[in-house]
Amino acid sequence: MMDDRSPIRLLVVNERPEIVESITRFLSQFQQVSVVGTAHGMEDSLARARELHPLAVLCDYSHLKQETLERIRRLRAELPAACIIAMSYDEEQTDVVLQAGADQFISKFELSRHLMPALEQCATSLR
Amino acid sequence: MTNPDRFHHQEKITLVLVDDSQSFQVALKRYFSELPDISLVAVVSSGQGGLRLPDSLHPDIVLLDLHLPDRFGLTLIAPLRAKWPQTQVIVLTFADHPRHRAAALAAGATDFISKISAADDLLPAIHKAMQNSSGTGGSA
Repeated sequence: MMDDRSPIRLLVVNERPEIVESITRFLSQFQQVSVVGTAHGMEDSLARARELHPLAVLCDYSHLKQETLERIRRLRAELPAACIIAMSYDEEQTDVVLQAGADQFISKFELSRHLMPALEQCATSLR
Repeated sequence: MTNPDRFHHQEKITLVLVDDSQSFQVALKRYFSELPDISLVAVVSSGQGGLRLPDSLHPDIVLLDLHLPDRFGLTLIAPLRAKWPQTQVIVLTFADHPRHRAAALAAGATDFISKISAADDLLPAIHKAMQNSSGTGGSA
């Protein structure tokens, strides 16, 4: 559970550092969210999840990289109560991602439109 | 040769994508396939791939990522503009730090868009680039 006024604590996971940096920079303009950590690979992501206990995780998914689906499964197992948001260009893979344990799927092509609403939905569900 | 009256003659705007993300390539192909006035004429995954495209292609616009496997995209802007002098270069990247934006524009890019806001900013940037092309006498 989280306080109504406290920012949602988010872990940003992506293999590419420039994407993590870009998302972190984008989210810095919103008081409703606090990026508490970033991670790149599978083990790094799980370690940061254990260490930081984020309330939400934003992670990348690509059907071309099967480890990204496995990462969602393992993050779900590690953080059963957290809100996991998967972002991807593979919009036809929504069901696969949700079945792996993600709570929400957002288009990576439309992050500026959908990321904050997704996080606000997470916050609502966690309160 | 870029036609300044393109919109009036309803010719397609021709684009080249230089980006190594296969997922993004697929997404962009799907996106442009739904836009009748735009044609994605070539997709390459590296800087060298872009420079090796035929000179005769002379696309209206190059969409250029910065993080490429063989070189940083900023170093491609000048060679691409030398190769295709009438072509507008739009940087489209997650490497959207302000210093990269400034460097890209200084190197000759027409515009600089973060992939975070691609859905909102890409199409307006393409049309702005075409207007810029017309305004600078692109059919020389």
